[in-house]
Amino acid sequence: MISRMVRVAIALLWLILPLGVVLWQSTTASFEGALSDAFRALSGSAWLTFAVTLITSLIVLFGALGLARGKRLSATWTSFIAVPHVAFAIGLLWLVSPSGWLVRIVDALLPMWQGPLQSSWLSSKSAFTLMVALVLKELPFLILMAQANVQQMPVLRWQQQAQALGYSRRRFWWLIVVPALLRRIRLPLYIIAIYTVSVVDIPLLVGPNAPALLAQAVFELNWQFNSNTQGLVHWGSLLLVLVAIVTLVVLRVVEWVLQRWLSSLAASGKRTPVAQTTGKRAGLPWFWAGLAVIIFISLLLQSVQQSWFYPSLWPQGWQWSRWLAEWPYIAPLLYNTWILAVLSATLAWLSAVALLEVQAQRQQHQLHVGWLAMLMVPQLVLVLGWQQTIGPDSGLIGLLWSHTVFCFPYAYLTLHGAYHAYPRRWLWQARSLGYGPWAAWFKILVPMLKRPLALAWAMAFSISVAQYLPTQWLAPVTHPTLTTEAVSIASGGDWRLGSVYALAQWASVWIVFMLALWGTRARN
Amino acid sequence: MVFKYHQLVIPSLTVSAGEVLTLTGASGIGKSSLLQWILGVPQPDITIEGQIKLNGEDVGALPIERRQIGLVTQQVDLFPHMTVEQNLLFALAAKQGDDAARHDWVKQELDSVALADYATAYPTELSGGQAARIALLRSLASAPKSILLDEPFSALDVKLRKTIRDFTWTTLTAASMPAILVTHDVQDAPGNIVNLEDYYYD
Amino acid sequence: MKYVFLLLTAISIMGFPTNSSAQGKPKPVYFYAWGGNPAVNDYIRWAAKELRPQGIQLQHVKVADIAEVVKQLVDGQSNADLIWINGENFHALKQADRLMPILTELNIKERLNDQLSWQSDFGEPVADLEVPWGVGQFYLLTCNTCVAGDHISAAELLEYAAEHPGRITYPKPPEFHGTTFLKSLLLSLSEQDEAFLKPVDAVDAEKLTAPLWTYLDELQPLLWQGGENYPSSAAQQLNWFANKQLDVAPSFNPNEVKTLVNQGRVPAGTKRITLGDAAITNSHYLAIPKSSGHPQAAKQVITFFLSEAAQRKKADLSGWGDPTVLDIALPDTPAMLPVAAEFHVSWQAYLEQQWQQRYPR
Repeated sequence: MISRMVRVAIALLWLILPLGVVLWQSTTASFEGALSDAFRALSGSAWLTFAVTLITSLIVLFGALGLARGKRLSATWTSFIAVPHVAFAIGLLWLVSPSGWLVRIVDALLPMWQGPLQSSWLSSKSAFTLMVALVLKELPFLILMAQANVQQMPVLRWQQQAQALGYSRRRFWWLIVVPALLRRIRLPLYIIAIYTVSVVDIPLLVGPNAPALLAQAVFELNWQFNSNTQGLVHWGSLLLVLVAIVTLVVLRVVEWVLQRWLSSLAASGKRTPVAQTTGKRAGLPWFWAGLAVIIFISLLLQSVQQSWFYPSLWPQGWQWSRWLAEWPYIAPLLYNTWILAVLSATLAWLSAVALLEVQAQRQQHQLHVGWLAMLMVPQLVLVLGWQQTIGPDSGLIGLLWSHTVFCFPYAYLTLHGAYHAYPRRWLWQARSLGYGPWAAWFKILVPMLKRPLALAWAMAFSISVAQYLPTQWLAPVTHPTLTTEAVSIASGGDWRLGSVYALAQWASVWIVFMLALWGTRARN
Repeated sequence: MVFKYHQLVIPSLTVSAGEVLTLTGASGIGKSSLLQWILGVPQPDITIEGQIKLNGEDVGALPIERRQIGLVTQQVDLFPHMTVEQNLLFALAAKQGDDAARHDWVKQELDSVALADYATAYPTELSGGQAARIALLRSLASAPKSILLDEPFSALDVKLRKTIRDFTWTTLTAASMPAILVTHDVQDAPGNIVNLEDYYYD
Repeated sequence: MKYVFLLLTAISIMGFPTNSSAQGKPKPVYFYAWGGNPAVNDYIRWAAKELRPQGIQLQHVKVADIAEVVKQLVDGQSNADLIWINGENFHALKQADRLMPILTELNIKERLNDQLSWQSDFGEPVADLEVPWGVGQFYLLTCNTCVAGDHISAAELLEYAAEHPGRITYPKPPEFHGTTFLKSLLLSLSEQDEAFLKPVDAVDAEKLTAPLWTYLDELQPLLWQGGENYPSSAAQQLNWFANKQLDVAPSFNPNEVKTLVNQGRVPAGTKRITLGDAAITNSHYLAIPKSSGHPQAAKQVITFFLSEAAQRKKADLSGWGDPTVLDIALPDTPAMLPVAAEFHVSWQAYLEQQWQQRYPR
């Protein structure tokens, strides 16, 4: 009875209401102007979005399948990887742009070579740069998800059998583990794909603009004030949903083909002699950690430099006072960001825990896609619908709600594995000793699951901190956050100040992850 | 053997103080489900009809914590985030008594099994035999009216198995505690054996 | 876990007190203004500090594009008290009748520099609805060793691009620097035709702009990235110019050639050249929407912004360096560039549309 109410309440708040508002809005939306006009105006963007999403998703998928075999990414590194996208993009841009640090180092090493790079490959704004940023950012997420799933499979036992049959480790991995893994990481892969379809802040910073990605195009169109663009905005968001669906279908087909191909390979019985490539991948977590450190240092140097022109390897002038001068303006933004993130993370976390507890009691151990529905709809479409219903000045409650809608599925996803792997017999044991269900839960389950519980909260927190669209569209006046400010300043092109805000944003997330890890560290 | 849809029709079974009733049968037949049902864990996947009476009182409608039935299992179930002492105190906490008295009691109990040195050790630091002894002590510490033993010896090696078995029966007899044992191995059984396969219907 | 959470809540609740004031509630003025330039932001912060004793809390709502607010105002859902606009945006708001008449009431006409022809905003009469705040002149920043002289004609620019492929570009229209770049080319190609002061409908726009498209077809492949991508903003182009990826960057502030060097945004050895013989010149304005919740306070803010002290501070080369609209002498600032009149507002949308149909394929 209560469990039913819990589920209904959670579904109503974080699924049905947000989707219902959008659906209701779409029935009243004006689809002025012909579809053909809209398509002509936006088809370039739509194709580009489709291509970028598909390529990014496939690289991330195969990267994760290949790399999940390596050393496990530890929780500490996870937290370091949890760099907010905007901070990551700003730092990466400085690192790899044609006049960035890497090129300057090459320039210093090769005196014959003249001037900044002219290639359009890693130009500051291109589809390629965007994909590099997205792949580097999303790959660790999928590797983590894959490794969490591999842990739940009896891989070692399978491997002993396969090796006894003469399969190399690599062959074993691709023929036995990958087919099982593919199905299990389908969901996180879809989340990455949908995120790529609808992300706006990253393309604003590093994406191409002739044409722009569809989400960015719709985002910009929504601010145009002549009335005929409104129809275009609606067609654009419909197109966005279409691109999302087509991408998911293609990814599903890719999975199917891959499954067929791998199983036909496995059925062929071919095996290569055991040739080992061991130990090579042990360095992989260090790649991301190293990247994160370099990006962090770049942002730090940027934030205190006064002038740093090509081809200087080191800032030519410093301005240490920037942080002090900027602090009075960062503080209220920090306050906004933290209040919002703490509240929405807590709401989302409580909902996720309540839902998981109810599911565990009913022994429903499957991850239900339905609860992740909000990650399966392009965010832009959702937020646009909300904005048109509650207006662009919705105050803290509306904003809090919109953030929680996105924090909740991530908290649920992060906590799901650990929560359902938890043996309920610990609780029975405590209750047989005379403790009621609540006491048993608090005294036994919570201390034993404190790390996954804390990390799920930290994850929800970081999701809220990184939210750009809901904040920018629902309450830009009353609640500017570090993220909206960082995007606004970075779009003005002053990296020095942009870095200050990116660092403040990053530090917020990092501190929370560190506290979560430190507060729940194991004995000894 | 795989039992998919089947019925067990078990006649009334009685266990008196200090006695141990042993339930046995092939895996999958429902020994553990039956035990969990007695303990009070909801069994959503199976239909169970029947009564559980403790000292003549029907406890079937009570939640786990009010049935006063203890549990010792194969996995030992000492809470890993608590020391040995804390585990025992946790079981005692439900009872009255001042702090000093409770600590004294724990000390006495640990002395009685020669494990006083391990009071501040965590369960992972204990050997299988040590942990099994503590687990039984803990179950008794909450003063249950009956105790359930779910394959409590199967994780132990042969030699230890006998020692712990003897320790368990001695302790239970001393406490004149009625107990139900679920096991694969009829050698574990000190008294009455009920084979659930005798009550099996397709 | 519990402790961590409580600690976080405590930090976030106690750490940063909200800036509510003790001595009476100050009147908030929501000032919607472009937020991409730290020097401008700093100036508005200074103004906010100066206005606090008057019981006004000037709150800068930073927008990436003021069109955001124009749309909200036209839709009737905005809390803006004060906006920073000109050109198209003014035109749209004037047409939708969303602006409050303020110029006469504020009684500052006599102090304004009439030579700036501020009475017309992109060919559209100001009609009492907005107050000039500063002056924009369009020109290109370049390095001393890049382009010789103090101006470059359209033909010379094409020559330069042919010699230095990939070193020239402009922000993607409808970004206003980009659109103004097109206008300047058009003026240079047509030798200052007066027809552009008239609405598009009143002239043969197709014939007038034909030379521009022919010219751009030639220029396009010589641009940065072969014209397949464009900077999103002037600020972005400025960064690339500062790091020697490009040889020019557009600017609308005639003093920026000095202020940007002072700020360390561009290296020393940066100079200004006009595209064509003269710089397209316009004013930027402050206006109060009819829907403003605090029109009196907003008027006080405008009065302050138009005070001599505030205008001098604004023109200060160590800060924003925006030319004054007042009839006062500022000896230290660079001379104004030769003036070319701004196009009629209707050309803005026309050029943007024509450009978009042709270029980003």
